[in-house]
Amino acid sequence: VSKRRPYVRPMDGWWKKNPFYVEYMVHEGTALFVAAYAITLLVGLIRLGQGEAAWNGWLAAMQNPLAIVCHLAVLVAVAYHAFTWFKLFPLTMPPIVVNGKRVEPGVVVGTGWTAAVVAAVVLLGLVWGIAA
Amino acid sequence: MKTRKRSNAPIFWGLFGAGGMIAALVGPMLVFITGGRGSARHPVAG
Repeated sequence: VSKRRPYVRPMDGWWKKNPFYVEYMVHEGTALFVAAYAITLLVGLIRLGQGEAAWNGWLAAMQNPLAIVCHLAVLVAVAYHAFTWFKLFPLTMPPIVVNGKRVEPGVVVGTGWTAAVVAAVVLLGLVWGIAA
Repeated sequence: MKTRKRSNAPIFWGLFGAGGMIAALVGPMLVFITGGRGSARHPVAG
């Protein structure tokens, strides 16, 4: 048995040592809000499958002031999550090459944000059409 | 011909990326639609 004890760099609090890592961990933290919202929607779907009374009960629960405050907090967190999701694209995606030239990081991020705004407007229009 | 065992990692990274992309594209508006009108008539309920 070797008596050697190689140095292992401690990783405790690694993300606090660099402002970029802190920003990244805040982005990852907002994923918890995305998960919480996904579970809320899933519960709604299950209640819908259980019949009209169960569905109306879930709708009433969503009108609770606490539910509205939670939705506001989730809205802020999910909006930040979407904003930083595209902001991180030049780092999380492999470089995109068009006509033998690498697409500038700013163009990649800008395209992502534009796509998000377009998707949001299309979704709102769809729901508006269904509700009308 | 020798067939190499291919990694299944890209499939799971792909699912991760697809989920993140959907959440980023429609997430904020979905929260706004379903929760923002919580005190009013629910748009999906009609």
